[in-house]
Amino acid sequence: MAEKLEKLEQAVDKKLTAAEMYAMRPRKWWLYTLIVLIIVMLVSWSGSTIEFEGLTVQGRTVAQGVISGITHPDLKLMFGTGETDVPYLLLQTMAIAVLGTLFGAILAIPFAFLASTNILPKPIAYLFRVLILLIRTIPSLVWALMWIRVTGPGAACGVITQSVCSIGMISKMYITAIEDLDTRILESLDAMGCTPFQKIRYGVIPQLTASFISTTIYRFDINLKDATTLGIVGAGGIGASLVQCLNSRRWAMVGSFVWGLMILVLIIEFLSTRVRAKLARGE
Amino acid sequence: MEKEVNTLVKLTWFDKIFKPQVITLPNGHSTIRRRSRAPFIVALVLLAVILSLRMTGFDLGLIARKFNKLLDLMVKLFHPKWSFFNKVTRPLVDTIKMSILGTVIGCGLSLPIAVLSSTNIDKSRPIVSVLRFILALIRTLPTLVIALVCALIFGLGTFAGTLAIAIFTFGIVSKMLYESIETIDMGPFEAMEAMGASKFQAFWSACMPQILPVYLSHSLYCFEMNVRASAILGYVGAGGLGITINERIGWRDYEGLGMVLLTLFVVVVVIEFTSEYLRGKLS
Amino acid sequence: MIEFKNVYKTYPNGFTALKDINLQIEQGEFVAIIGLSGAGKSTILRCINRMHDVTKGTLTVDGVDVNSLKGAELRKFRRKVGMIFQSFNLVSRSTAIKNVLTADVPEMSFFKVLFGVFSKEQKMRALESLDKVGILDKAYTRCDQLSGGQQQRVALARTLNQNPKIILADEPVASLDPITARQVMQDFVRINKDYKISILLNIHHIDLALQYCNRVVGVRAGEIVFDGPASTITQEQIDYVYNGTKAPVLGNGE
Repeated sequence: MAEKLEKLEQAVDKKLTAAEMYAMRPRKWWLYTLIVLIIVMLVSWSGSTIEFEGLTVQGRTVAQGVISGITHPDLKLMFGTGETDVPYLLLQTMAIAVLGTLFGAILAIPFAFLASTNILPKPIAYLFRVLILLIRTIPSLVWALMWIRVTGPGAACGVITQSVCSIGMISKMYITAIEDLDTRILESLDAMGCTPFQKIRYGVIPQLTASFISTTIYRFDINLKDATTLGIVGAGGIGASLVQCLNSRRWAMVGSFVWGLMILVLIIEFLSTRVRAKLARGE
Repeated sequence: MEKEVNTLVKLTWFDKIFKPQVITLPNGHSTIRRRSRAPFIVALVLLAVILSLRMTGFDLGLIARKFNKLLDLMVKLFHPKWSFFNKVTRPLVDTIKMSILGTVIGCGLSLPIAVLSSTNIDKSRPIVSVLRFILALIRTLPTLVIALVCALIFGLGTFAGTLAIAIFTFGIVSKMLYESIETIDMGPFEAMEAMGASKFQAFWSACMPQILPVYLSHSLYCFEMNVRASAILGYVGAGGLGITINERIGWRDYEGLGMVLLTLFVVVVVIEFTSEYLRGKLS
Repeated sequence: MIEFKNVYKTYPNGFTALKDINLQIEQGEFVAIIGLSGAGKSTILRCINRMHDVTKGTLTVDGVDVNSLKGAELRKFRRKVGMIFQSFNLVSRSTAIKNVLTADVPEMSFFKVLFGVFSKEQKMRALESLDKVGILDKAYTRCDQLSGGQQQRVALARTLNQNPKIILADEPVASLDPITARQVMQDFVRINKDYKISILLNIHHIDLALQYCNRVVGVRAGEIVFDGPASTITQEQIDYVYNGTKAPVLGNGE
């Protein structure tokens, strides 16, 4: 590589002809071939053991059932007001996501500051980063199954699970914001004679709020989707009912749950994108 | 005065309820200050939190009282049963295989769809809107629910998991990709057209070199997510580590679970670092 | 030869960009089009290679009525007309030679384009084009690592590589510093002389236009208000082109 660079540098000094330049063209085809080869190998290796046995005995009926459920949802369930109807369950799912996100966002603040290299010495910061990574790697479903031992099944389990799970991603994004802090402002506040507290209040916090809020809203988006699956292990929300209906093949009910879920998630995603765009423009 | 205010800044419905304040200096010059939205937003969030607390029945006291249960569990988790490693490898390899194949299939499908959903390349408004709506719908469906439906149709096993991951990947990579495609430089495309290239030739030679690195980078990022996501798919019978995790928790074998999570952690970290390194190279 | 006969151009939003343009440019001329932003300079250039359609009147290039061209014919016609842009319009992630090679793409088969396969002859020709503008040594450097002047030369090499009879340059030096701008203008002069390629360029810098071009066309609000050799234009005429505002050159007139 160094040799090649040297040759190119010589080319700058001495006028070369097109033919000479062509002769020393960088040859990269072997690299591309290697990449393609690796991908092909990985795919064939993974494909070799994926067992495809065609449809199951009831596969066709299930597929038909899902389609008929989505086209003919159970309207009474969809617009009912009872505790097992779609609107209530959606609200509960949202409630889990609201609390989970809020607690997670608050818990993430100390983690983020402790893991920022411009605030603490590198070894300590990296230790906290490993901890954050650990929290993030354990799937939320596993967290839920562990917390259920403490809280028992129900929405509270969903809240505490999401609070913990959110710490991972939220603090990761907070850290980026903290490490991007413009320290020149602190210098000028120093020059004006501000105390450390004043420096944090007027130099640090104004820089961080917008991105912290934006991160939190983004995470709310994710948590809402996640909250729908937590129900599967009994942590409240719409997921439990959806899975029960799927397993007992009540397709019309499946249809109304799926519609409710899609509409809610679409609305929240739309709102969250708009609010975050406004925040980014500084309104 | 009212009129003047209206011409100076665009008023939203909020400003119409809470009229902006006009500050006039002694020399007659004036400026207007909009009422802060902060109290309004804080009140709204507080209301949401209170409602959510009531709805989920979240009780910090209960968690504090039973916290020692979680600690017991954690202590066991941090004493992994090393001998269990042998039983982890096979499902782990299955999980990785599912992620690789699912990512490749999902990403392969997403490239053409993302191109067709980018407003700067596809000038047909209806096609763009329809495709984007379909993608948004796919993204609202929780992976676990997709996996469950796939498992019901195609039988328990890795195939259902692979399919679920492919669908999830397709939705998310398509969205990330069309957002990136809309930011590419269309200048080279214009130049190619001026040279007499057809639309396809111009797109392939001028836009693809810009799209390809972003595409690969998004694909790698999604692969990272997929490894984590596919680890839990087994919970609904879609193959991989999830089955083992579910089994260990069911038997309350937390030392064994610790081993599973530790292996997963190591694999995820290795994959994340490799992928981050490769993505750094791409940009 | 390029010939405008009573050419009008109205945009879909109703704005009339060109009014009754009559203009004849012989093969091998080096023409500068001057005028304020929005006067219609760009529109004139873009009508010549049909990046814009003419609304009324006829525009012929080498005896071909440009407005009658369609599809493959139009693309074939565009091969003879090179275009240079203010923002260079290079694929900045690709190397200089790859950008120059894209000039060959319109004549290649589908599969060769798909896999980006270029023959040795094509590569040699691309390198020679780069040599003509004096940046052969940067052939395998990525464009985002080149300076503005070097990037504009890569763009010029790309245009030369399509072997055009006419080069249209839309504000080619507007985003370059004054010294680099002069170097690029000299490149244009050399190419005009050595290869007998007609060059039409839009330019904001009147001093550069007068120094390097043979003929000047002044456009004001979509009409040609001056057309003549660069050496004969007077300060009053320049002022008139720029709507009576003082042009920033030539001191206080004669």
